[in-house]
Amino acid sequence: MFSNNQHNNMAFSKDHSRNSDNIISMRGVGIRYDQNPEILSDVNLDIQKGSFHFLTGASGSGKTSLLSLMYTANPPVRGHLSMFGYNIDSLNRDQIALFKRKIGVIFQDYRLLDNLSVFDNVALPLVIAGKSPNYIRKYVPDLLEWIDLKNYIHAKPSILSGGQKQRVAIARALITKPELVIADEPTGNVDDDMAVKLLYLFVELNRMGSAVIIATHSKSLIEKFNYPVLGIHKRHLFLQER
Amino acid sequence: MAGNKNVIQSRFNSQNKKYNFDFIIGRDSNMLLLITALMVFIATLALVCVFSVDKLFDSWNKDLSGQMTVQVLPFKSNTNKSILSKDLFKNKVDNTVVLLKSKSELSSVEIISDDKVNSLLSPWLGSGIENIEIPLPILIDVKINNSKINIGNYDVKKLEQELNDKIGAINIEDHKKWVSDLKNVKNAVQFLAYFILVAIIITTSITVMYTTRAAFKAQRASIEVFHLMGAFDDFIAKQFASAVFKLTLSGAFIGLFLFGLIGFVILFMVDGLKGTIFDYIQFSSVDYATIFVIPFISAMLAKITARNTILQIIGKVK
Ligand SMILES: Nc1ncnc2c1ncn2[C@@H]1O[C@H](COP(=O)(O)OP(=O)(O)OP(=O)(O)O)[C@@H](O)[C@H]1O
Ligand SMILES: [Mg+2]
Repeated sequence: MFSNNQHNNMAFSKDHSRNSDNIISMRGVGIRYDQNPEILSDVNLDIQKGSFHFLTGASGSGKTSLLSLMYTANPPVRGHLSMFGYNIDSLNRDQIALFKRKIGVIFQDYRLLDNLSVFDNVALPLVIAGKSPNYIRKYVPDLLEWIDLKNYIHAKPSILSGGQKQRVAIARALITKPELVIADEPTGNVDDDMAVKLLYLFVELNRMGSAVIIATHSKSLIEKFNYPVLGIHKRHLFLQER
Repeated sequence: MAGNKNVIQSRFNSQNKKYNFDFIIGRDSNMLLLITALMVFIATLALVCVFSVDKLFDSWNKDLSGQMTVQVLPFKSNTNKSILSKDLFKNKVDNTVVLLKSKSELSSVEIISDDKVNSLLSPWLGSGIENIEIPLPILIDVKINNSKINIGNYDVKKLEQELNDKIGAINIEDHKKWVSDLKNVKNAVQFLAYFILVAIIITTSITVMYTTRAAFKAQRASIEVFHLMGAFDDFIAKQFASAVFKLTLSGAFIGLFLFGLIGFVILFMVDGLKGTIFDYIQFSSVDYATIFVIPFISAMLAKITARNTILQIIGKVK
């Protein structure tokens, strides 16, 4: 299923230091924790504007690690990472912060703030981006309605079920209409119907121009939606043929 | 169900708040609130002491300056200390008064009556001293005419010399030493008060620093989420600063309120203070304004400290 051949077939942009069509660009990136051996080596990857990818791989293969490199924007231990055409090393903290606002992330463990209500959790990225309370009141309820959480607007995340938390996390990631949505197992805790419904949300977002990358174990989802699949195998990232 | 939804909708629409993330200070807040209240209480006390001592000194200084007491001793001269007869002594006193009254720089010359001397001495000597046959000096109260001469420039020594040359055995007490002693006491008290104020500022700042650090540690996960969503370091520091500001401002007003309450009880419930030094202490509106400003200054200081603490931690964490 995987082969080095497919590795070479990946559509890389030629100009790899500055290409404004690439939201994320990795060259020869190695990922490891502390002094442990690399869990992923020689990652070459371009996430282009408006693209849609699934990311699969066995549990512990490094999906979360790869995605977190994109959203934490920390310099990789090896190789080059650029964001929106800029090498990460050339950006200061505030510039990186501004780029992060264009990326919506759904964390595998949700990372909702338990001290804030569902509404405030979803509003958080807008508050950080300095949007007015009026703007926030206008957009947040609609999205909560769409993901069926309108009745939980004032609830604290701690009383929600796993699937409900997941939907709050999705709403929080999508509220800013980001240029890139990174979703780590966004359907891991919902039933199949809800999973498909949520995936249509991502598809819709993608139609409106957002790039999407979704890590998932669900073969049925991957089969249902005909998008390119990135796979991790033996510490390497491949573009899978469909 | 529809009704329920409407309730939620209206509750939501009435929600016209500014976002705050005060939760990030969390459980450590009670300690900070308490310490601010205590520190502002003490700071207010220290400041009130400074003001009071100032007023006391001013009013005593005003009363005493420009006044001298001429002491006519019942001796013949400074070298010949034989005691004068009653008549001769009376003559001597009369001569002294005449000489003093001839001076245009002096506005009032008054012999302090025996009754007054007795009442001044009775606390030390007991009553009935009027019957004791010891020759007491006669005291003459003299005021310098401040429309004729600057009080500070008046040469008391020269007058004393003249009186001794012409009459003999006369002392002048011009209270200058008394005033300067008082001034030393005033300075010492105020130095102590300012020292206490500085100590309070340092203590409070350290408390704010530790509280902010502890809160940062406790809220690390939330702060990471803030960062992942593209929050500037300054945004995060400001959330801490604003939470600390609100907290310390409340604490400071609690401290000020307690001080006011206790001050009220002391000044108005206890009648026994009438006729004591408290009569001299009249605060101006500027004094009250200064005291009222303490909570705001404390909260501002705490805010700046919190912000800098967070920026420093984030800078290091980076
Ligand atoms: N913070 C960390 N410190 C040390 N090792 C880590 C850390 N995070 C992940 N790892 C290790 O890196 C490897 C990849 O983990 P990762 O979470 O990226 O896998 P994954 O593909 O997302 O797995 P799953 O499908 O279960 O979510 C694992 O062996 C894991 O133990
Ligand atoms: Mg994972």
